[in-house]
Amino acid sequence: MNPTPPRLLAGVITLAWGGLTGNPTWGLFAALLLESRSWTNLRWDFNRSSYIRAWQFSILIGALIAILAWINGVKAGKLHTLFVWTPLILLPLELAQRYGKASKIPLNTFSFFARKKMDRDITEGRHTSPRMVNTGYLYIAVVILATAMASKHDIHHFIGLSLMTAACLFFYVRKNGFRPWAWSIALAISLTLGFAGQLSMFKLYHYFTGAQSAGGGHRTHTNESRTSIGKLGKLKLSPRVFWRMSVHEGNVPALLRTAVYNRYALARWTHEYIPPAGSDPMLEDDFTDDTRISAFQDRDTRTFGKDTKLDLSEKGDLSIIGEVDSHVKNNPIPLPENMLAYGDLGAEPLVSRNSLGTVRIGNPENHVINYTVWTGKEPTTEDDPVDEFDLHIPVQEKAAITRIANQLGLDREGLSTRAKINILRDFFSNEFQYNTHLKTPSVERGRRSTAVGMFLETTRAGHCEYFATATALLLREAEIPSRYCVGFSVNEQNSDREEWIMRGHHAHAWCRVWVEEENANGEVVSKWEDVDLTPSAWHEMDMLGRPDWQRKLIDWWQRVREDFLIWRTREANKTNVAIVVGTIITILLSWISWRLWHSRQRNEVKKQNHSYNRPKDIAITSLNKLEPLLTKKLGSRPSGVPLCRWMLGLTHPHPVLDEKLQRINELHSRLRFDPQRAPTNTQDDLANLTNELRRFLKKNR
Amino acid sequence: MTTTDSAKHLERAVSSIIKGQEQTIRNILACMISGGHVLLEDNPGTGKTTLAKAIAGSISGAVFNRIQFTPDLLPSDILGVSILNQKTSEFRFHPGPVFTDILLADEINRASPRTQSALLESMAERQATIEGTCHDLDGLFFVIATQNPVEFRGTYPLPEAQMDRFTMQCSLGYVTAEQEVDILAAQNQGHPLDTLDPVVTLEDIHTLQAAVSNVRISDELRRYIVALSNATREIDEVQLSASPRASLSLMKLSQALSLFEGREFVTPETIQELALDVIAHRLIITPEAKFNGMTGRAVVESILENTPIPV
Repeated sequence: MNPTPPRLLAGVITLAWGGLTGNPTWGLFAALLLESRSWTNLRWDFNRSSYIRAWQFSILIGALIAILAWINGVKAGKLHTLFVWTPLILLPLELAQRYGKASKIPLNTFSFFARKKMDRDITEGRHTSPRMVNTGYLYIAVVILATAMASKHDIHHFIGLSLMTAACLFFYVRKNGFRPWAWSIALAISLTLGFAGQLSMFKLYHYFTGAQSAGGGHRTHTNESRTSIGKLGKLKLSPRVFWRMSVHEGNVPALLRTAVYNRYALARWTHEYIPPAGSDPMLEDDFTDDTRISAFQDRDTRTFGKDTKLDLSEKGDLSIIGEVDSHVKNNPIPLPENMLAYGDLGAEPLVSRNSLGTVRIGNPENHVINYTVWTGKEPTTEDDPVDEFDLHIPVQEKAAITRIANQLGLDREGLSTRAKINILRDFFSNEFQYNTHLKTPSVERGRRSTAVGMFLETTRAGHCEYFATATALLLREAEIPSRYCVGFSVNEQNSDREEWIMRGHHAHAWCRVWVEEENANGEVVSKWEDVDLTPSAWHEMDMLGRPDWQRKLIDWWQRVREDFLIWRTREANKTNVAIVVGTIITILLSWISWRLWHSRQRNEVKKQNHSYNRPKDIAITSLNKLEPLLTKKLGSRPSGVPLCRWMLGLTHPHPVLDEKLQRINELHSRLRFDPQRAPTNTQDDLANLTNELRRFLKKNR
Repeated sequence: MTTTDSAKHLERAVSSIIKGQEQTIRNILACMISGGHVLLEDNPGTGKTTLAKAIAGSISGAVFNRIQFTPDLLPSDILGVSILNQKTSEFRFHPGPVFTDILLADEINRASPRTQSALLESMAERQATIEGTCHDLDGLFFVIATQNPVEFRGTYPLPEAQMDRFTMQCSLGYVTAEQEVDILAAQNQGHPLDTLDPVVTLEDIHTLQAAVSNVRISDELRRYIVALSNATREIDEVQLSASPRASLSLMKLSQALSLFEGREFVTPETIQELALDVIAHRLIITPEAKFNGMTGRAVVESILENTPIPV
């Protein structure tokens, strides 16, 4: 059984697809094309190759959509999300099915090898019987699946999809032993199980992705960093390239800061702030916009500092390239410690910073961003410390921190900030080991301790998050405002391209410390400084894992893709790209359409409606002269129908003519086709009979 | 007895045995007197063997032989073989069933191509070369071959050359319910073949064969015949088109049928009536077109519809 869907079903479902996936125009377009079949008598005599070409057309559209998506920044790993466009991709095939005369198409249309096998069978005289299918319901199933992919977050969508599925199943099974109760119960069970399964999968997905997005250093969140403090086993970090940096002027920054946090509790660093009086804490997120500066005429340059008339070099100090999520507002970007200004982020990107100095970009036009950074001597993005947060030590950590601070003598009078930092540096360098593989600690009766406490007092081994957290808390104990920040360490250079590469395993954590000291003039000045007390051994450990050829290939591909996307989005290149892509698409679509059209024509009967060219030496008979009058009665004679047989059509309205017509035929045939000269009276007899016939026909109009 | 009378008697006699197939019988008889051979593609039980026997029974002195083709049939089983006579120490030729007036080659596509090809020379040249000696087939030698369209397994499709040797291919098909009742009634007391008396002699048949060439055909109609054959050569979907032999067969058969219709000249209607049976089986359609449902008959029908007919 392979029935055809009823009228309007495919159209309604395609419209729903368009509406729910945010492509109403395409949905309407597809629905109209599909349903126009019911309103017109237009049918084409497609042959087997037409269906194959329609299928190839569909594949080509799919490839084009994939290429366009790739050009627009969809990663190769996310190409499955293009399934949402399948209704459009398969439209040519479905239209060929709907507008073709055949009710079914061979299933091997979809397989090159199956087609070849059948061709060989036919050539060798073997019997072939390919399975024939009507693609109507298959197409509807694909449209429903595509709709489901795009609208998975809303219960209303689930209900709508369930109704559509129920309608399809109803029409499908109606003619084949339909049992309403059994059908309804089976459908209800399927939908319930489907809903429960979907809900569970979502919860599971969010549980894992939620944990991942905040920690691990891959997708940094501006308000929270879930550290790996307290987790056992090997700390896994991705070798993927996240950012690339070119240094044009000045020194190479050792660290690029992505986000800063000021409150620690239970292995989690968060960003806390005091909302301004009268603001809505739910809406306020502590981020303030940047300021445009007029350093260059044709370049969009901005700063967070107060000075808007900066004298900037044209090339900038650094250029950074990387990928962000253009669908979200919160994309923290890596910046050097003393960022003065940034530019070239494209048309009107929403860039803002919070009081801790985290700078984020919201919904940029493209996935891949390329920006220039100018650095100065002072940090411009951070506010002064707030003791409530920047000196806060969580209660759970307080005891161990105090013990270590006392042990190190951080509370001694007269010690400068730098001296305290140096004490800690010596402490960590001499007594601690860098380690990313944490083992189960030994259990001591009567002693309970936190992960940071264990790190400081027992294990004395850990990774950068331990060192940064411990440093921040110990400095806070010593009355020095400190913050925890995450970002990347700059230590891998691609010498061929003079680029610095920041991979997942270059992700690093360190401290921002409020350093007070006297300057050359004897004035006390304070500023935020990077303090990284993780033993330098971690760089060496990183170098052990040199990239293999596979990683090099992936890096190369990623770089090509990012550079192409950046090149494509430049104003000067946009038009050229559109013209080239448009031309290629037009040529390909025209070619395929022409082939499809051509294959349709080939199967049509080649009509040769020209009439018979009688040789000049052949005389016509009285019956030939009567043909115009007969044409008025019988309609025009097809060129392949003999005159005599055609004329016998008169016997239907006038049975009395039968005998006379037989006689006329006999005489006409003798005169026309007998090479031997007919008796002289034959022509007269025929003339008389045709005259009688003419009179009869005129009389009986 | 005039040639027209002979033709009418023969037709009437065969039609009395095979009910409801007047036109097909007339065409087959025309094929016989035109010197051709016929291939019947039909379902079992539609009267193919009876037809052959009826034709043989209607002709006085005509010898009827039947060969049931099987995969293990050898060419010598058809043509004959020389066997050593131990008394005289000489080889004596034993003629095979091919030495006959009317030969029924039943289920011809069950035999191997080698055995099928043994008939080639006989059908085209009216002679059989056996062990280097050429034997003339003196008799009428009219081959009625049958092949079964539904049984694909265990069959060897007839080679193109063999198909071209058959002047026409037709089928008897199923008769109407009323005609089938008549058949049942006629066979109530015994088979009508048992009571069939010859109505013509072999001499009459030879006279009829000679008369065929006297039936007149105009140049215009010869050109029409050639136009029909030519049209098959211009169609992309046709891999092997109609040969000049097809045109010749169509002309001869048209002349013979005109004789049966009591005319001394050929009309375009006669040519159209026979074109399908004469041309369609000689065409080989490309695999792709065949898959799309195109057949030789559909091609010829389309050609007949679109080739301007002399009027």
